[in-house]
Amino acid sequence: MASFTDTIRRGIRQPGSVSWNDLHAGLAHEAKKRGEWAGLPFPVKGMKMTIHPSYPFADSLAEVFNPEPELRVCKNTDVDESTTLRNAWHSYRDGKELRVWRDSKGFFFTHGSRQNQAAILLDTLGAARSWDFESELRAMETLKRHITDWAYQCYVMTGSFLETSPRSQVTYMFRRLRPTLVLTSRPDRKGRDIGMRILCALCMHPIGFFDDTWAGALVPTDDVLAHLLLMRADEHLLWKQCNQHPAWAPESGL
Amino acid sequence: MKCACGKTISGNKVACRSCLDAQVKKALTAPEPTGVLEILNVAAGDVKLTFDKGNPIETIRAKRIVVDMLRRGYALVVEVERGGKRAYERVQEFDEKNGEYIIADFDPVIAQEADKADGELPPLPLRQHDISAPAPQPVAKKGGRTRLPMETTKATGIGRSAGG
Repeated sequence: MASFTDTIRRGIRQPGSVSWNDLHAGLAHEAKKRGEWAGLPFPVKGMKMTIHPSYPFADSLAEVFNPEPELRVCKNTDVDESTTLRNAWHSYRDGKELRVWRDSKGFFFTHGSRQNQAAILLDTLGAARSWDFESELRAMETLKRHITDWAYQCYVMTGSFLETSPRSQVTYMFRRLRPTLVLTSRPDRKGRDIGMRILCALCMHPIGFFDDTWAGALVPTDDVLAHLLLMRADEHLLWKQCNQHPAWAPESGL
Repeated sequence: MKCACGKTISGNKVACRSCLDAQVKKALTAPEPTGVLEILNVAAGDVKLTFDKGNPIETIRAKRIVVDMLRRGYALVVEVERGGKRAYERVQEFDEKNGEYIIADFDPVIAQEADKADGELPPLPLRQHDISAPAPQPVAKKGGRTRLPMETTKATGIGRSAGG
């Protein structure tokens, strides 16, 4: 099997001669050579990745195929020293961040663009180019072995299934290509029964993930498996490794 | 020529019919090695390594891979049976010499119930002069370890997390 560098060289010498499968095989070969048993992430053109820094080529794989940033020379007038940010908050009603500024003339406010999930959804679709369809099917077979028949049917039909931790009594909703939702029906701090509610969304990807998407370096079902197995084996470690997104944030996938 | 059982057999045979049948039956009914390590992999989906005591070269290679994975920060999750039910535990260490996973020897659910039974600590005194006796210190519980042979254990390797 040709190494990754040989494959890249061939691609440069003869444009169009290297297929997607060749690159995948080249990266797999490189990973095996370096003892990376989980493989190396496959980059996608125009998409930036965040990869665990200990992986070989983490920096170069994260930035490869990205367009060079445009250069702009700043002028002295670009910065107004008299303008200061006084306050900023997220408006749930408007779905955007509002900011209050102060300059020499008084106060004024600005707001960011409306935050919704459209961009994340589209970019997640773009990241699908990095995955292998057969790998996803194999991962689904593995998942089937770990969960009940009904949970697997739920997963195939809706992309999600529920499981309650016997230790914390917290219910997890594992979702394909979305962060895992954490639900609880415990009473609030004052002891009032307020029914089932979302605590947060837990987001974690082994190896790496594509920035501003819900896509990881592993195929989607392998990400679900990683969440599920860590929850069962070491719930504390799962919470330690995950980013916690509030339910209202676009990143939570709600 | 004689078979191992003492029966006389022809020169072009290695054993008598009954001995051959017994060997085939033994091979068919012998339990297959159930030890397997699945690694969640980027390119190939799930990579599987099987551990077979009959293949020493493969076993040595598998042991080295497990040691290397733990050194690189992989999370190894093993399936265990607890109270007749399947449970999962994270591997703390690996004994390369004996080929055994080492896990914490306690059921987190039972441990939590035991903590509840111990009762909550009394509230801390609000002022300095309220202190009449030294505050009770939480007692550190020393947990044991359990060893699981790799040849009979199903394990899954999860790569280092990059957050999300």
